[in-house]
Amino acid sequence: MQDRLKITVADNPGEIVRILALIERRRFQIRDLRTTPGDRPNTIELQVRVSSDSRNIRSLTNQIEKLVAVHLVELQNEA
Amino acid sequence: MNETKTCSGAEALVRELEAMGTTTVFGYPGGAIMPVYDALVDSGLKHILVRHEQGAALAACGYARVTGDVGVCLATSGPGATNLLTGIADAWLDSVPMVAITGQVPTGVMGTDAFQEVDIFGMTLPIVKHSFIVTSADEIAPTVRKAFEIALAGRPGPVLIDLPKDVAFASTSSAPPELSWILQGSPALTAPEASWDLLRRATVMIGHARRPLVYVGGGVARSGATEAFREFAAQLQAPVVTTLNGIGTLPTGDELLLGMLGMHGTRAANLAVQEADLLICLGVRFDDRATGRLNAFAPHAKVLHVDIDQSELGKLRQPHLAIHSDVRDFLQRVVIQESKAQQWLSDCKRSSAANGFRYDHPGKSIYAPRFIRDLTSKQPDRWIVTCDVGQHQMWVAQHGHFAEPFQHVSSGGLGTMGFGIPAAIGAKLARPDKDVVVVSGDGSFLMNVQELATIRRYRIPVKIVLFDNSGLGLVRQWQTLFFKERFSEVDLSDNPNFVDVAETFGIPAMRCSKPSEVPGAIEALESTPGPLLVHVPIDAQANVWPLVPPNKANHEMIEGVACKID
Repeated sequence: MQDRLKITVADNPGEIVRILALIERRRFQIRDLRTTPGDRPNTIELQVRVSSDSRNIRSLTNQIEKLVAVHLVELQNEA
Repeated sequence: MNETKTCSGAEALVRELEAMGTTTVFGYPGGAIMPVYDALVDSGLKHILVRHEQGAALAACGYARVTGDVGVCLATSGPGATNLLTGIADAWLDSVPMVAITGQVPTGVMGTDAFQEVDIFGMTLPIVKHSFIVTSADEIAPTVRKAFEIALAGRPGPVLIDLPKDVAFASTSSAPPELSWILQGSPALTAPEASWDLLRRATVMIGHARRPLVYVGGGVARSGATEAFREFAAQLQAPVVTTLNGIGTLPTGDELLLGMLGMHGTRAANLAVQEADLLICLGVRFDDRATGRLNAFAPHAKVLHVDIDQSELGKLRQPHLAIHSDVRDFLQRVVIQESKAQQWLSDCKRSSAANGFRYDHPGKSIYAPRFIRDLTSKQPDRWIVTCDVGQHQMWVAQHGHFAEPFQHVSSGGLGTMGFGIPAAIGAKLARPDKDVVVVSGDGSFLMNVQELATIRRYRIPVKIVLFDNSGLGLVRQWQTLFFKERFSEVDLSDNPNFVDVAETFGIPAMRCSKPSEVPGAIEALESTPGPLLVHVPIDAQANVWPLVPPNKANHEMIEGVACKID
C-alpha cells in the first residue's frame, strides 16, 4: 500500500528535513518526493508518496500535523 | 507601546529570557556562546555553572518537572551542544518544557566543518518539539518568545535555539515583541476541548462498565489536572493504576489506588488491568513498560482514551472512544455518576491487600525498599525524590510515599542513568521550600558525579541516598533471568569509596551499613541542614519484584525472593 501526502509547511530552514526525517523515523519509506512553492506566502508544498509494511497512514499524518511549522496535511490516497 | 532600544543579540536574548519570567539558567560557557555569557554579567538571571553540559540539561529538566515552568539550559557549540542531547531527549520523552540554547559558529563559516561546529539543529530534530537557527539579531527576541510558547503549549516539550556567534554579537534595535504569535492554529500548540457529544458518550460508556479501571499517566499532572482528577476519582469510585510518571496523582495509600502497573508494577494493578471491562486512559501513551505484550494488554476492556496529543490516540491501542482533549478540561466537564462497580472495587482492594509488599525480608543486609518506605512515609508531602535509573528507581516507584505528583521525579521514557543528581539540583533551586533527596545507585551515581561540585559551589542542600550493590543490579537481574546467568560487564566491585568521593567534593557523607543504622541515617537526612550523602551498601543479589518478563502479558509477572537469604 502506498499513500500520497500533500504537506504545506512554512518555508523555514530545516523544515523539509524535519518532515522527511520524521517520515523515515516512523518507519515509512519515501518513494517519491516533489517540492513546489506553496499557494500561501512563505510556504512550501511537499508531495510525498510513502509506503509501509503495516503501519496506519493516519499514525503518520497525526505525527506530521504535530510539527509546529506544518500548516496542512492532506492524504490523497491511491491504490 | 514597546520601547525600542539598541543592544547586542546576546543582550536581547538575555533580556527576553528575563521577560519570559526565567530566573535561573543552567549552563557551561565556551567559545561560540561567549557573547551570551558576557551579557549574563549584567543580567538578573541566576546562572548555575554545572560541570558538564549534560548536567545543565538534566538540571533544567528537574527544574521544569517540579514547577511546570520552562527549564532553560545553555551550552556552546560542538561538544557543548552534543552534551546536551541526552537531557533534551529526556525532556522529549517525558513531555517536559525546556528551552535549550546553543552557541553556533559564525554564519560565515557554518557548513565548513569549522572548529567546534556540529549540526545540532539536525541532530536534535527527532527529540525536540521545534527548533530554530537564528540568522539575524532582530529575530532573537521573537524566537525566544516563540520557543517558550511552543515548549509550554499543548503537550509540553523541549525547543532548541541555535545561535551563531556573529548573530549574538550583532546589534538589534527591535522592540520586544508582543506575546501571542502566528502559529496558534497549529495542533501542537492547542489545548483542545472535547465536544459535548463525546463527553456524553464517555458518560454512557463509564456508566455501563461493571469493571472500570482508571489508567493515569504523567499527562494528568502535566496539564495541571491533579485536583480535577482526584475529584473525578472520588466521584467515580473506581480503582486507579498509574504509570511511572503518574505516581502521586493520587496520594500513596489512597483507597482507590492499586499502584503502578507494568513491568515492575504491583500485582494488584496488573491483575486488575487484565480483568477490567473498561480502561479509562488519561494522559497515557501505552508505553511498552506499562503494557507488557501489547496484544495481551487489558484483553477484556473497552478503551476510553483522553489525551491532548492526537497522535497518541490509536497509536498503539485502538480506543473505542478517543477524546482529543486537554485532560483537565475533560475531567472538569465530564458528568460522572457513582460507579455501579462496588463489588469490583472491593475485589480490587482485597487483591491489593493480599498482594501488598512485604518488608520482613529474610536477609541481614539493609533492605532498600524498606529504607525508601521509612524515609518517605513519615511525612509523605515532605520530600521531592529524584531518581537515577535501575533497581533503586523501581524501588522508589514501588515503595516511596508521595502526596503529589511533582514529588516523584524520575526519568521515565528515556531511562537516563545520571539523571538524579542534576535533576535534584534543578528541583531544589525551583522548590527551595521542599526537601529534595536523590535516590541513586552505584552505577548511575558515577555518571554525573561531577555535579557534586555544583552542589558544593552553590551550597544546595540536597540529600543523596546511594544504594550500592557493587554492580549494575537491574542488568544483572536480567542476565540472571533471561541470559542463563552469563554475567557480562555488570561487576562494579572496584567502585571508589563513595564517602571519600563525596567528602573530596566537600559534601558531608556517612555510611549506613546495618539495618540498625537506618533510623539514624534517616534522622540525619531529615535534620542535616546542608547537603549530605548517605552511602548504603546493600545485598548484591537483591532483585526487583514483581517483574513482567519481556514479551509477556502483565498478568504473567514473576516473583522471587527479595534478596539473598543469609
